[in-house]
Amino acid sequence: MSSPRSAAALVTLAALLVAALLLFEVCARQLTGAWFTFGVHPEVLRQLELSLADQKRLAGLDPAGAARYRRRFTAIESLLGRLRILEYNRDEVVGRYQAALLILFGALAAAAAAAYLAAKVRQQGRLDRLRGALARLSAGEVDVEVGERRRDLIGRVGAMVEETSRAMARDRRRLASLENLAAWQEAARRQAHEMRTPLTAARLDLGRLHGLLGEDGGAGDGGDGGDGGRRRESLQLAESVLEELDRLGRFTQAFTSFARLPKPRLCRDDLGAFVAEFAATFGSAWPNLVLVAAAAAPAAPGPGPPHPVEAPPAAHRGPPRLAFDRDLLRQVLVNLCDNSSQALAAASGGEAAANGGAAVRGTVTFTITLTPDDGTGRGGAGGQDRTSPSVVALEVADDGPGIPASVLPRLFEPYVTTRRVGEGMGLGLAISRKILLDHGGDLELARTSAAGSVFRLLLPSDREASP
Amino acid sequence: MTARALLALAPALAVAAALARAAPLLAERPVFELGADGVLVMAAVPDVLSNAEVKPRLTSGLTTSFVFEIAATDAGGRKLRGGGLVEIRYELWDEVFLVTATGADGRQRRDSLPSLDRLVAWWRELKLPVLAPGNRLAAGSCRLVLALSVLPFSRAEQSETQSWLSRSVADERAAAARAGETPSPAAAAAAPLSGVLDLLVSTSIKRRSVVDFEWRSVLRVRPGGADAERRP
Repeated sequence: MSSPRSAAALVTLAALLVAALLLFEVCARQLTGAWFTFGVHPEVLRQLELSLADQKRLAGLDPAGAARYRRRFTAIESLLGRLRILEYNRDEVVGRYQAALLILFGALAAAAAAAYLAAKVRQQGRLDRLRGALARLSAGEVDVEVGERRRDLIGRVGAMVEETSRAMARDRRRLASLENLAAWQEAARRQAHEMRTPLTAARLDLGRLHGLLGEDGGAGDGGDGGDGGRRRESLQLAESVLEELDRLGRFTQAFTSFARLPKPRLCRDDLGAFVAEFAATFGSAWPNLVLVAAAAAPAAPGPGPPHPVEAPPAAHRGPPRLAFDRDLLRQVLVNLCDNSSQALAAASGGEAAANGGAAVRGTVTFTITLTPDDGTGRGGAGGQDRTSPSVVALEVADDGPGIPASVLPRLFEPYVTTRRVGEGMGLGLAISRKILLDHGGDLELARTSAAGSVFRLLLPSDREASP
Repeated sequence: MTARALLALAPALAVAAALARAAPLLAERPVFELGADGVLVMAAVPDVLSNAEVKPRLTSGLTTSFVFEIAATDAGGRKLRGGGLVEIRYELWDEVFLVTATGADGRQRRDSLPSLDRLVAWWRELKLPVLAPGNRLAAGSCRLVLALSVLPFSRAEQSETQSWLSRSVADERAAAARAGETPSPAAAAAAPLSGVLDLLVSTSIKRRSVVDFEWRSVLRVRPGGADAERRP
């Protein structure tokens, strides 16, 4: 409020106040004076005087009622006296009344002006905060908080700034993840390439050696027992090495798969129907898992987990049709179910033994929620009235043993696994996240505990199908 | 005539105006004498009743009050103050003037006079102690300043009218309440303010004087008696 413009506004306000006071004073003077004149009008006084004379005359004409006329006379005389006193004090009474009204009006006007100025100062402060937030945003800061809670224009602009900031933060995180994954993919591609050539040559040579040993063995079956034994031993060794080379080949293939993840071919489809179909088709793929497609849940009112309601797939109320790649999304679900199954099996090894060998079965529940994107990429009820696009969240919840805390910070990085060496490459979650990021969404761990883990697949609802 | 000349003349003009206002009474002056008990008594009060501003008030039905205030400085330099009160009310029914004169000694004199002429005569014959009996003037030259304020009504009538005004407003609100009229939210919110306004209005009834007079005299006090008053 220190700028010349503010000073001019103050002067204008003060001038308006003074003008209002003057106008009020003029009006009050006219009105008050007029009303007072009605009360003590000379004609009223004259009529009262005549009434007094009449009472006296009546008393003379009607002596029997003299006392009554005297009482009436006294009353009129008293009233006349009061009115004369009022009339005598006319200027004081009117002046006092006007002054009181003027003070009252002035106080009200001053209070209104003070309230207006206070509101102006508050508004200026809010605008300054908004300007600061915009400056930080334009300087490249993300997660900018304006701190506006009101729903007026400034509040809405503040909310938009915060949304933009969160969207920028989300995009940066995605970009960083994508860059990281791209680097890992490039490394995997090189490793696969470097490994594949000698591996192929070794396999060919070993296959040839295996063939030669087999031929020699068939030709010389009647030979001495010493040569036959060495041949058989060599044959077994060659088979064993071939087996290891096959395993190495599968690893190389995994590298190749990770390095050459295809771009999603988006087709608009019903995600609910897709999930229900997946649960039905893959229901028996993992012996220790039961797959359940829960009914779609509304946006969660708070930060708590959604509460899936089990329902048959036919009754599934699907979200709007989304653009997604069925094959890739199926791969994601398979990866997650694989992880759940293996984690459950590892955890239930001892438990199964305690139960006399009976297998422990877990449940994987798929729940879909449609929520507006609050800029965090997670959706949320907090952004219900905002104009950002909605995201569809598909939650995959298991009741397994949960994920060790030590793994959580690097959970989605390639080659991070809780399995024993040789049992897995640790690429499943990295590949899955890459697939979701390529969809314009994300994959995140919603929560994990000893009661189970929940992964959340976020898919934007406004993506168009691939041409 | 320039503005500067006008400004220079302004004080002189103001004095001349004040003198002109009091001019009719300057010729006639009250007489002061010492009573038997040595009390200063005002006698032969100038006829202010015939004054154009005072005369119409006498028959208004209200009590016209004549408030005398005297400041005396005796030869010893002692300053003494006193006064007196004369109240005149015209009784409209009986058509008589009811007068009450109260001196500084606390004694009251009441009379009922049938006409204005008799009232004027009574006024001229009035002898009113204006200093309390204990305030004896020292022998020597004593300067006296007598001020007279003519008030259009008495203090009792002032109080009665104020309370009537307040009562009238209160009765009006009470009648509205009895009639079951629900005050508007604005009126309910402004109720305390209207009370303040009523108080301001009712207390605005003042006993402003109709006209004021002032006389200055010098009284030569001799041990055991008073000299005739002298002009300053």
